[in-house]
Amino acid sequence: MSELAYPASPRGRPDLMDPATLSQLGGVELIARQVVEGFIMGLHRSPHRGFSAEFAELRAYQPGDDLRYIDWRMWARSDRFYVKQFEEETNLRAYLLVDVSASMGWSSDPETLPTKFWYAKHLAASLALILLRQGDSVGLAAFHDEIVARVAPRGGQLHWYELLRHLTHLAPGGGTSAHTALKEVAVRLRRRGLVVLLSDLLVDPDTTLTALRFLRHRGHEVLVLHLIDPGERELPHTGDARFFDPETGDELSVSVADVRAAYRGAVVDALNEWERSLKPHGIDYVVVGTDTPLSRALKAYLHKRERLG
Amino acid sequence: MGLLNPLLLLAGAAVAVPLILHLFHRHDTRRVAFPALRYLQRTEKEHARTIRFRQILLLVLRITAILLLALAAARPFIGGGVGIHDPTALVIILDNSMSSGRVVGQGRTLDQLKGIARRSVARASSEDRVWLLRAGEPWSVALTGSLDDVGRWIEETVVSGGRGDLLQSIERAAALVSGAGLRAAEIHVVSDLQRTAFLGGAVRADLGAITLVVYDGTDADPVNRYLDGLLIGGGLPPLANQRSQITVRVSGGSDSLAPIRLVVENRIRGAAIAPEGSHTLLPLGPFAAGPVSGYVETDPDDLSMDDRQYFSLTVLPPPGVWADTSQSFFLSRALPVLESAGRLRPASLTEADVLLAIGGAGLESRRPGAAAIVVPYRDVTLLPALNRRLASSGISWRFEPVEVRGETPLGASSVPISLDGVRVFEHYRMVPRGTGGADGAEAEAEVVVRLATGEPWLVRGTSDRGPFFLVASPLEPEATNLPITASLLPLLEWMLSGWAGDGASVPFLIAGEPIPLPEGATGVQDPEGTLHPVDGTGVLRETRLPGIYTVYREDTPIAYVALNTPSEESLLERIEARELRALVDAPLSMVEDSTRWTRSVFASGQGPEIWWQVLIMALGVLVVESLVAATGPVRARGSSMTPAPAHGGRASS
Repeated sequence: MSELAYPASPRGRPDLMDPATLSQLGGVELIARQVVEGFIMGLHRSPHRGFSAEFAELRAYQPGDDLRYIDWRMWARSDRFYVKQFEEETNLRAYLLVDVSASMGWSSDPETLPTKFWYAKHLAASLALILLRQGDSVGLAAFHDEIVARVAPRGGQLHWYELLRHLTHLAPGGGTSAHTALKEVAVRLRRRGLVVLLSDLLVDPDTTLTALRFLRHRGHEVLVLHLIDPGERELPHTGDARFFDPETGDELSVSVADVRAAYRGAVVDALNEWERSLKPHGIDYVVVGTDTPLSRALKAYLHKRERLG
Repeated sequence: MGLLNPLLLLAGAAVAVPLILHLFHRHDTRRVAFPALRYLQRTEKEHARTIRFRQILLLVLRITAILLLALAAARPFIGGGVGIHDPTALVIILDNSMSSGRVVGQGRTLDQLKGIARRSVARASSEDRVWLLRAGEPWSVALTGSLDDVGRWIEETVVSGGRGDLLQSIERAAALVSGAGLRAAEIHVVSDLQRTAFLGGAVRADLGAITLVVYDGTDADPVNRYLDGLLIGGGLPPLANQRSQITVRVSGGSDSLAPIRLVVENRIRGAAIAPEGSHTLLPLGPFAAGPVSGYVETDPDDLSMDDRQYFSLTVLPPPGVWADTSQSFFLSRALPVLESAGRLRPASLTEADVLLAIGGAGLESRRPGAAAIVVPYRDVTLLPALNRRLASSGISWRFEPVEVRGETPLGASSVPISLDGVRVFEHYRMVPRGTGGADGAEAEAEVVVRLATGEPWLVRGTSDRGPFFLVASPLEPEATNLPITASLLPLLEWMLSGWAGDGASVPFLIAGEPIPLPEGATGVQDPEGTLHPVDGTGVLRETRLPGIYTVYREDTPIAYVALNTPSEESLLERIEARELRALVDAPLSMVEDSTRWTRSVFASGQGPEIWWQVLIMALGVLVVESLVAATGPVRARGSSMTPAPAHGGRASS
């Protein structure tokens, strides 16, 4: 399980703002655009760069750089090593799978925390904007028991608005049948690409794992962003209560004091199991809390994209 | 191990609260939406036994904490337990003073106190030495013997009419236990704790390590109606065939009217209704010469002994008076009037009780003990002869002529006769013989009437030969207008009656105090009819009962003495515990509950209290409970990813 370290939130970087503050900024478009702008501005200060095929500029050699990209002509002229940097010219097809089941519409503290659905919607918009700016094509599928919205992968800045339009009209509801949506995507994506799943993974693990492995088998790169509310990691301080699942209606009466510590361990175990099940198949798995800035998930995407080259 | 407050163990019933909550009220609370229910189901499934164990552990800890708290409140102590203690010198001060006769519920206060005293005896062992000290009978010695004897004496204790002096009783008890030479010493004060039983300051004895256990459980209602202030004839007894008055006061805390009855020789002779706090005047007599006794009573209340005031007096015949009235016109007319009214009788010089010595006539010949009323002549030339007669008869006063003439009114007077309007035109200066100011003579005489100028006008005193009156003015109209006023006869009667004889005085004694007996007394019969022989001390000390005591010489009654209850005993207000602690410098335990008494006495066998250790244990259990409640069960390792099956629903969507 990847738990990306995250710095303290500096003022003025929307991608680093906590979601509750970010939600005050405006609609999906504005937030996603500001998040992406902030995120890209942050990238210029980092060593992550260089998954392009088209030459962009030279920079001083640093240990660890690929020797294939050393500019020997510059070495001959200046007696110093420089490496060439390129801009990508490939067109990656990415597909964003957004879980819109009823459980995604839950927040443990509606006054200070956004729902998982809000978080997934804005994260999808931000990812789409980054992908489109890089020249990739982006598709979208929203699902609960079935796919409720679908946008075919396409490139271009204008496509982002199409995606936004669909995202804006989505609403949480129904159960979760992730494997159905994943299989349908696998069938439709003929060209290998990147599949990003944004879900709380309150699903049937076996069928979902099977579907994700099937995607991988078809040659797709798969990134699972497991959205989790802090209130799902830690039980509320309610004393005795009857808990019920808004999706299934199942109920369970427990004394919170009796199960709090064990529950905390059970959640950690479940997340570890997801990671242990996905990693051997080359599926990246990142747990994203809805109380963390959007850049956490964007960085996960960035790591994935770096490896794709 | 024992408990000082075993009733507080009932607080342990509070264990029902966690039990009921555990059995009936678990989880029956609000409904909370929670999408990650599958994790919860998984937790419940994997930790069911641990959770169950934890719940039972918490239940046990909570019950244990409650039981320990209840135990701590019950004040447990360790030690030998009931009946086992160090050999102890014990004095049981049983307060059987008059106030213990108060009726409370179905019995008297004394019955309740005797029950407490019996508990002390029941706790005592054969190695203890036990005394019984009756606080209401100060003449009694402290009784000691076997436990059976002490128990019997407690049963035989009856209410005394006397006052209980608990401070003095504690001092006596301290002296007893200190000299016993046993390892432990206790004084059990079994009393109604009247405030008036603690008059006279703090306990003066060194109590040291003596433990005082004081019963503080009697009824605290202080309202009590009683009679006091009995007075007959303003302090002078009636003479034979003379009417008199009896005065009594109704006291108490109520505002209601109290019926008053005067009973003389077992017959009701008068009645009245008086409000609380007032003095009531009832007519008394006339009686023939001889002893008269009776009582004034009101309706009995809870404490009835003080609702009756006894009196006894000896009605004497009119005094025998000798007078040479040939030189006094007005006295020669006044004495026959008094004689005809039965206020005096003529007597010879040698037999007279009172000598009316005009110009000192007859003073040398009066019999020993006879009183003399000395009136001077107007003729100043006869004054030396009068002074010689006074000196020869042992009267240390003399008359001196006064140069000043003129009208002088009377000034300060302690005579119970109105002398308003009496003027003095001539008088002699009466001077104590010898010093001119006169310590010795003043000591045996008092000025009962003065002139407005402050000079003595009427002097009363006692000489070796008998009592006397000295009048500064001749009883002639030229010297004073007294003979021609209405005050002459009353004043003359008062002076004559005042010396009617010793036997006519009205002694008022208090129950519990010794009765001085006349010479020759051989026995005294108390109000219950018990005859007490008279020992060589000449006093009767066992005066437990209020009422009429008859003094006998052989088989002949020679005197009657009335004893009444002390008014302090009628004041039932109780002393506060802090006041009592201030009076007694010793370990003091106040016990309100009769059932606690048994556990509070014989502290040497009780051992130290361990309530605070139990309390610490309870707090420790509560801390453990808090830790267990806060930590929850340890999570299991190697759990499966598969969620638990949903209850009545799908496992997943």
